[in-house]
Amino acid sequence: MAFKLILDNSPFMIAERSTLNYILSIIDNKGIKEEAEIKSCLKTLLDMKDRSVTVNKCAKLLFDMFDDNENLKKLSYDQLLPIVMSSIQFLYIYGLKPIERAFRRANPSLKSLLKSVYLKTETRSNWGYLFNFYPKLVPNEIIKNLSTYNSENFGKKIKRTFEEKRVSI
Amino acid sequence: MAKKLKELLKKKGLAYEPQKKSEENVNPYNEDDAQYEIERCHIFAVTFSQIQDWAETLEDTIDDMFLWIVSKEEMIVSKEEIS
Repeated sequence: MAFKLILDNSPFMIAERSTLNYILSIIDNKGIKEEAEIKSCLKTLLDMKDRSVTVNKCAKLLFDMFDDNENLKKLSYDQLLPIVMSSIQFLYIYGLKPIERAFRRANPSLKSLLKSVYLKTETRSNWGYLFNFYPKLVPNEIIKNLSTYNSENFGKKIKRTFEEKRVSI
Repeated sequence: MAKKLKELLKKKGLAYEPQKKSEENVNPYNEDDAQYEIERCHIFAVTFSQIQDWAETLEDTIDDMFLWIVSKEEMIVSKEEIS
């Protein structure tokens, strides 16, 4: 619960939402016309790509770090939280903040480019995932699945889980 | 004095008695529990995995913008430049 509150109010999530808002406002703006000089966006795009790779790779590293939690076992929840908070802070400062700034200060060429790409690739799944991002905490399900998977009576347990869920509904 | 007061309150049914936790309300995860250890770190791992997926999608979108410029401008991009 504490982690969820920290994550939802972290600068990373705030920047993520405002980045999406900037993208949406550009896409929905009917006044944006096709610009001839889109080549001038190359440098900005390179920087944005660089920053998004930073978020991607760092998040992967953090996932591996917490997934293989052998080294973190001795730490309590209260000791772990500051580590997670500083990790999210790092992702924000070195990754998402420059991307958000680039979309906020987008010049007409970049806006035109983004809109053209969206109109051309509107049906692609990546737009849907981009706009519907909201991290969910699913620890109970993981433990439940792990225990059912490891048990000998796999089928029986699955059946029981379904029955429990049906009763709770 | 305190003892007498306690007894008096007990007689009148006003004494405070901590309620026993029902089975439903008991936190299933003990600090020493091995499962709790796994789960605690998994909360963070899953969250970072979702952030990674999102960043990858953002990367794909930026790649699409790159490709758009390349196709529009008929630019010749060498392998070194792509990597």
